[in-house]
Amino acid sequence: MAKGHDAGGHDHLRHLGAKATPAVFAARADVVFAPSPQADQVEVAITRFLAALSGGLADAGCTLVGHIKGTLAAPGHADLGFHATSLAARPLLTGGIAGDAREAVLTVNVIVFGVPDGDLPAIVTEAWSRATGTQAVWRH
Amino acid sequence: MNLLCIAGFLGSGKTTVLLEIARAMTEEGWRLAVIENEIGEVGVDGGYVREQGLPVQELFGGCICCTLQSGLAETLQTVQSRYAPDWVIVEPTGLAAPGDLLGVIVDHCPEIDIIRVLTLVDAARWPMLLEIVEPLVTAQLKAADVVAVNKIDQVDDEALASVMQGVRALSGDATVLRVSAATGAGMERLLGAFV
Repeated sequence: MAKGHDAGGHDHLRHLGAKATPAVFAARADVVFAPSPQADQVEVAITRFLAALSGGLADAGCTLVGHIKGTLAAPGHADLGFHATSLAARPLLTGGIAGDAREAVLTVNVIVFGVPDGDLPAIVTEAWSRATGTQAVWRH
Repeated sequence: MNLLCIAGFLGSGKTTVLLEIARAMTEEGWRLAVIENEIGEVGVDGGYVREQGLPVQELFGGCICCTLQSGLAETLQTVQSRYAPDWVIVEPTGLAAPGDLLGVIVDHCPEIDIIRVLTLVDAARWPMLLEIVEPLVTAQLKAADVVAVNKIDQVDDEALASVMQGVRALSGDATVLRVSAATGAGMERLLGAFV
């Protein structure tokens, strides 16, 4: 579980056992594009990220996706939103990055079941790295 | 001030339905405020709801039905003093048991006149939810005045009949509706339950 989260404090979930203990990752990262991508290239990168993340979660034993959601926001260039509730289904993308954005803020919020709490940050980070070839430095 | 709690498991469509209900309430001339709760320290939905023109207070890093109970009481008082809304719409995290949340409101927020609970169910993931988080789903249904079985466009008739039967068995006296927020099917009747 990412720093500062308190899903273990859910008294009504404690009696459900290990399979119903959620792992939570919620963080932001600054993203720098070099060179500035076209809008469709941003969508491809996010789609790759979500595919890599789904693969990593599946490998880690994910039994249920609460949600995988987030935004890529570039000031002055609008936002690209993403949302998924399944490892297999195609994620929903909304909006988009307009123009030649060079910098953006990536927000990721993941709640899944069946994955050890401590493993989730590394799974998300690895997925971003595999999809984009860059390292995300998360701010929680 | 009246309160509408829109509960339901993660990814059941709470934010989408919230915006539809808020739109309909606004068209009726009611003043609204929204409280968004996220279990993580960084939220997504609050900013999205705010972009739709609604005043939003956010509670991060826990659940308002348990770890952030005091935060909810304080936030409701802030909403009342800052916006004086006719309705405050509360979207708890999808891991919340709304019955616990209602206890907090009754104990600490006497300024709330009417409390209503809408619980959303993801029809497409119903069997999986029952298998893995059945006590939570049951708690969310038992607290509901209205249950909306959402995403009916993603299941066939046989699966939907099974979902409806299971939901009705767990929902007590609640009104159970079938909707698709994505296609608009059944939404008029759902909105009519609150506006």
